[in-house]
Amino acid sequence: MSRLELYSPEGLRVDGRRWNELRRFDCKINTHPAFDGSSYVEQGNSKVICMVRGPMEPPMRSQVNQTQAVIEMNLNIASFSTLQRRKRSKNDKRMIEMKTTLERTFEQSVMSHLYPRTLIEVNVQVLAQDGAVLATMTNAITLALIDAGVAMYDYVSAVSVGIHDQTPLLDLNVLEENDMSCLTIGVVGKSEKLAMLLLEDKMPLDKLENALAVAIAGGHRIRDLMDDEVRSHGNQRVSKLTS
Amino acid sequence: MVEKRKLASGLTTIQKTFVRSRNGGCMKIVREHYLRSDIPCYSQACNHCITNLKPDAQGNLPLLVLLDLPLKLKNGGQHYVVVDTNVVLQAIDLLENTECFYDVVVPQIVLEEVKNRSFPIYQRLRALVKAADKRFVVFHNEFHEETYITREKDESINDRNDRAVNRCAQWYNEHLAKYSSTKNPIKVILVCNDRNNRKRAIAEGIDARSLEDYIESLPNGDMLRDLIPTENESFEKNAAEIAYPEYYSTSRTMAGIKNGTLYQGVFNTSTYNILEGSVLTPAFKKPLLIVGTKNLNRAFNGDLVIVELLPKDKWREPSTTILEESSIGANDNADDNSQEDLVSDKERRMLALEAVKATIHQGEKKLQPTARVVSITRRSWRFYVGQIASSSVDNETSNASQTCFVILMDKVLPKIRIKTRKAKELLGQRIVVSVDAWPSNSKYPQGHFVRSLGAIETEGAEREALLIEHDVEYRPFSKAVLDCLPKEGENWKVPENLDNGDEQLKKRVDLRDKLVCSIDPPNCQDIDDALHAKPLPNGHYEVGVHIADVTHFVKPNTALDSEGASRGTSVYLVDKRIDMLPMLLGTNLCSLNPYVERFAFSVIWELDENAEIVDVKFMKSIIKSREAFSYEQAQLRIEDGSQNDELTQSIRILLKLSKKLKQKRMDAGALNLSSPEVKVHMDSETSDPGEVEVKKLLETNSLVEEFMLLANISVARKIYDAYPQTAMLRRHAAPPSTNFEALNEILRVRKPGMSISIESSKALADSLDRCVDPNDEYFNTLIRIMSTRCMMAAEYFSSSSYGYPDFRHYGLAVDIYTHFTSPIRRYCDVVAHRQLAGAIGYEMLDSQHRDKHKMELIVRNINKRHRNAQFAGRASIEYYVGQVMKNNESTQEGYVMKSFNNGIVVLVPKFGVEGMIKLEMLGDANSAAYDEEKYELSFTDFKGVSRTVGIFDKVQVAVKSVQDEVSGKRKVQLVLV
Amino acid sequence: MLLSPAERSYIYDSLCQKDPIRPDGRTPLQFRPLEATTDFLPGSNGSARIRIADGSECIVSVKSKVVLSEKEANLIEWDVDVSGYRDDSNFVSNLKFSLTDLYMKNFPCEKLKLTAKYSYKLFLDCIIVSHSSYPLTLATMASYLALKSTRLPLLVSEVDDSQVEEQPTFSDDWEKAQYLAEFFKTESFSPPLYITVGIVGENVFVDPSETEEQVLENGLLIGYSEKKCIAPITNLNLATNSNNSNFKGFTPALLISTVDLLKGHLSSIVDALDTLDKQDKEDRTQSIF
Repeated sequence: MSRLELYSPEGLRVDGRRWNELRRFDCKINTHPAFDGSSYVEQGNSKVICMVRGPMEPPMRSQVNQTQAVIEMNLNIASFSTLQRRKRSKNDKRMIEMKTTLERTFEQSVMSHLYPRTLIEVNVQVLAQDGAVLATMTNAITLALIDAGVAMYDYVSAVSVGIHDQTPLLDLNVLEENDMSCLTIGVVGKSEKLAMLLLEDKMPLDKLENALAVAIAGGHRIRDLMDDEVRSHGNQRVSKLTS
Repeated sequence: MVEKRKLASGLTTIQKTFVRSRNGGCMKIVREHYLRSDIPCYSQACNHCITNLKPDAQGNLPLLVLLDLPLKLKNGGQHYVVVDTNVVLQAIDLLENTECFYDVVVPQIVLEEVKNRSFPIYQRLRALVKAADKRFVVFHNEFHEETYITREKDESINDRNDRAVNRCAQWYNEHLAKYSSTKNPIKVILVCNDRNNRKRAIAEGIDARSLEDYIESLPNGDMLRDLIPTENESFEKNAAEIAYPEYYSTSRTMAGIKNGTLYQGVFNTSTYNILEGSVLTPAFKKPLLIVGTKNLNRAFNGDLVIVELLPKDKWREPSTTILEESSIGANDNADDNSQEDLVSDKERRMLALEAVKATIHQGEKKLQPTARVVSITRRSWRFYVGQIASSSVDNETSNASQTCFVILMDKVLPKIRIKTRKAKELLGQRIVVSVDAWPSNSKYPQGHFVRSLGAIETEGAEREALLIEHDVEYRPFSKAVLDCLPKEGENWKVPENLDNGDEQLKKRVDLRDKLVCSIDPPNCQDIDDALHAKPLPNGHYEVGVHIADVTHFVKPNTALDSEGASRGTSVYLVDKRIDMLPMLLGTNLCSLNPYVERFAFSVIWELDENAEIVDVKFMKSIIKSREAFSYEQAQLRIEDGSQNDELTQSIRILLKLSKKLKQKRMDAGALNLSSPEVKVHMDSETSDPGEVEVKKLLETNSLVEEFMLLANISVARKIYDAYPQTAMLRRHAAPPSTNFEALNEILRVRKPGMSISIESSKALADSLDRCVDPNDEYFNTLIRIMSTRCMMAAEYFSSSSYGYPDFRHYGLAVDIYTHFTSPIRRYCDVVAHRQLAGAIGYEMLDSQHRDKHKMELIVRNINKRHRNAQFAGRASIEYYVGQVMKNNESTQEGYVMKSFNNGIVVLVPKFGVEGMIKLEMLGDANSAAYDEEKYELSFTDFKGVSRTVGIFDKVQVAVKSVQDEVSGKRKVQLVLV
Repeated sequence: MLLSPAERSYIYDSLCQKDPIRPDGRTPLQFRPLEATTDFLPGSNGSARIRIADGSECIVSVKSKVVLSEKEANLIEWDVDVSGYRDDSNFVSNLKFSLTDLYMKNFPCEKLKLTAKYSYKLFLDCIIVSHSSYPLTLATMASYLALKSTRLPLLVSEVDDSQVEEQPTFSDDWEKAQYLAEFFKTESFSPPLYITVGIVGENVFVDPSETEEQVLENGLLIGYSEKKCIAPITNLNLATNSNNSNFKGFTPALLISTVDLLKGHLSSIVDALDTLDKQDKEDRTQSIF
């Protein structure tokens, strides 16, 4: 049994946060100029690189869709990203689940009808896992797509939330994630619309609404942090152009 | 590697990097750590923190607990206390004491260290903080910007943590000086037993005191002084007393367990010989024997120990000698035993005797491997009840502190050395002591006095002693628990208007028209169950079992629920009942009293003529019991031909069906086992200490029992169907054949032609029926009693722990079983109720009962509580019987159950008492001879007659009650006549 | 980017000349500029990321594990992951084999011994995030830096456990963990490198770019450590993604002269890596980008 005080009676979590506080969120875009779009996101100690190619002509005929762009997700989780080194095959069930979730999420969020007969190739590289990996990947993909100039309806900002006894806890780190069921959502912009929702384990129905509310608020804060980075990067570029 | 970064949210993040060694491996671990400035100091005297309080998810603000006018000391003004880790670990009893330690700050780092060192103490500390009446707070110094400190180069983690505690104390001083609303700012006293750290703290301007100094400076310090736990140094003068082997280092034991040279298991002291014990490890089928002081190496009964095998030439068979702590070294002077060797002479003789025995017996079969304890993983230390050995008290010494021995009630434990000033006062009292340490150079463990329960043999003291010894929570229910009861109190009633908008009420079925009655022991106050039956037009019968709807009042995640869960069961002593739930529920609101409307949880079957189930329904209901019968009343009513009202008719139906049910059960192989205790009327509330009554069983007893079993089985199926992973069930494993080996061997020798077969419960039941001695009516019962002791104990479990075939209840011969019918007094039933309510869609099942892991914790606890309650009940009867015997000596029939080379164990069926008769009490010890093959002890008795007694022999014994001089325990003494 | 026949012929001709002209203007023995960061992975004992100007990028992590020496054949285990390639493809297997081979021959595995019974085992995971030219030089340079930044926890229990087995215990203070050089008790610890060399006629070029690879007559993979060219030395077709019609043999004399040529020259690249490593240790920001 885990003997950690995941949420102390004084209202503090294992890492010192309160129930509704995000971890450190650092992001950068255009980290890999050799690609059309790229980003690097750190959510706590979870670290993800994302590189996007496209929209481009699909190398294979079979990938052509006459009405919209095809989005291809390549996920790679480094074997050293977990505490105990573990090799993950690409056909691992969990990987396929994440891949499908992400593909569906972004098919909805990218204005793919603007790019018929093209392929958008998204490469995600997870370097370190410290909980909320799916959320970190989602945020990295959003930023890389924006960097690539792919038209999207809005930001998709993702965050996880767990339930510890009665209390929803926002943005779980790995210690917390191991010990409670958790929900990852992707919020569309500043709305309350969700582009993604993935529940690990199970969560009592009566707690769900509360948990969602906390997660959506967290997602909005992440959107703002990503927006800051995109704008500051944009300004930098503009200043280079004008000078 | 420390990079501090301030985030936009106001938090500062750092990375904590450390190495974790585990199982010989090592891992680099990096954790994010957030520092903040909004952690309050919790002082009411502070006018800063109140402006910066952050609510939790429910919107509640933290309470400022520390008084603005805390205790003033003789030397040093008003103060708060900051405790360090060792003080908590050593003196948690003192911290819990209501006479001292109010307004205490526990730094987070201390809490964490305590948690790593001892989880039970951590839980007690947390309970102190939660209870709030002692005003303990946890200050999260590790998360506070101003109190977090980083490890310095080459600093050990302990030094760093000590520094953190000092920093915390310093911060409180600065903080209170700056923001105090009172004129003289409150000071902080650091209570710390580490001399070096105290020096450092004082250098930093902190008022640091040792525990002793701090207690001395309290106004009531004189009174409390004895309660200070001993430190090793205080017994220093006995340094060279003994040399137990040092324990192996953890790295050595871990490697040893991994490579299979060391084994881990729970240590059990032999019931009859305290210098012998055994450890059952997964590696061996039979337990490893551990013999002699040096090999036992300070292990306590119940400790989790690591052992090492001894060479094969030291392997031997289990001892056939009785040896109690009281018989060796009882007359030691606690202060003066330096000339004593590690192995006492008496001990040596015993061992020599044993060794001879072992060599005579060349047959490998009985030889058991022996081992020695090399490390103790987890101590089982708790509070112990005992009394001061009068021989160890120096009556000359005035009121100065002196060292004396405490003999514990639990005979398998060694005596404990304590220091007290009140030795003389405490003589002849039951006292509670706590063990602090057992260094390798000390012959006996060291402990300290906790409190006195009162004079030996006073009812209150003995009862409390018994409850403490069996770890039964007997304190009154706390306010938080009582607050969960309905506000209406005794006036609570079933609502008159059933359509009052309450959705759940609507789902209840109105069964008030059914002719329900209850049948219980006389004067029963907590009526769990009631029954009804009526013939149906199709020739079948409708039978209903109605169980008190406890979960209507005990909602999950309330203080009431967690109290019930932690108590696990009500405990029935001869003269008192310790309730699992508050009286108001048990004897009133939930109890299905007659003539009033009550909420119930009903199981209604349609049974055919042969008592086969045609249909079963479960429902929450409202019932009105027509009558509460005692077993006898019900029996009379059934037999009274003149009574032909509908209620009586329905009881007759019930009786008829119950007989069929019972027959079916017996045919399937249900066991009818016996234990002498059951025969003593345990549940009796009469407690007139003049008679011991053997309980008479009426047909109506078994009437109720059969339907309760049927309800339990039906419910078990239903909840297992609904919650296959977490259903709360009860199982009874088949006994392993080895358990019956010894008994069958004895039977072979003593009663040729008889044996017990155990292929199935049916075979067992049948073979027990065949064990009849035409000359001795009681012999069959005796065999049943002895067989019962070879059986496994039934246990609660959650359905994910076993595969379906292992759900079987061996004794009842059913494939699945649970407890549903007594929710007032068993927590298992409460869980079963909730799961059944969930299964029938009455309400959502709380997540804790759907979580495998949490169910595992519940199950573990209720199994333990159930066991303890049984032991406590038995101990209570034993005490009670002893009291009865006091004025009631008589000669009775007895049976020999066990034989040793220096004594026999005799059972007296009349009183259900079992007692040991040692060789010294039988006759001339020197003339005695023990024939191990025949289980016979021959000796010359005091009259000069040579006698031989063996197992199963019927003997006449004089029964009287004597008080053990050493332990103060009254027990029944048997003397062979 | 695949070259057209005309482009190929143009580049081949310019590389053939007595004074060859490389398409990116480098001298024959000049490496492409690179940038690197080290020790940014919290869960690894050491790590490095290296990137060259054409966008090729490689990340190497070193993780340690305590093992019973007798049960492990190799105390160094390599794993290579190339984005866009299957793990069981020839290309990935070849890279993995080359790296394992180099380290088997040139890494002081015996020094990983911890006690009489236990050793450290190192797991080197190499992720080639993107590449255009043959990525082995890049991979070994990243490994070089990753190993230089690798630290192993300090053993505090007994070293001699041959009689009574004892599980090793370690200091919980990460600051006490030792760099490999310290752990090996050597002055200079220098992991081996692979240098890719392209051959056109009599000319050799180190670190050929993707463009150059497509016109080479042959390619060499040369091990290098401690100022010496070392085994394994192999030749191969560096252009893995195109048909190289120029590919043919070369004279043994050329191999010898190349080794001589490199020996004197390559210390500068090791010095550059060492400088990078030193700078990173002083400026511990723990960020990749």
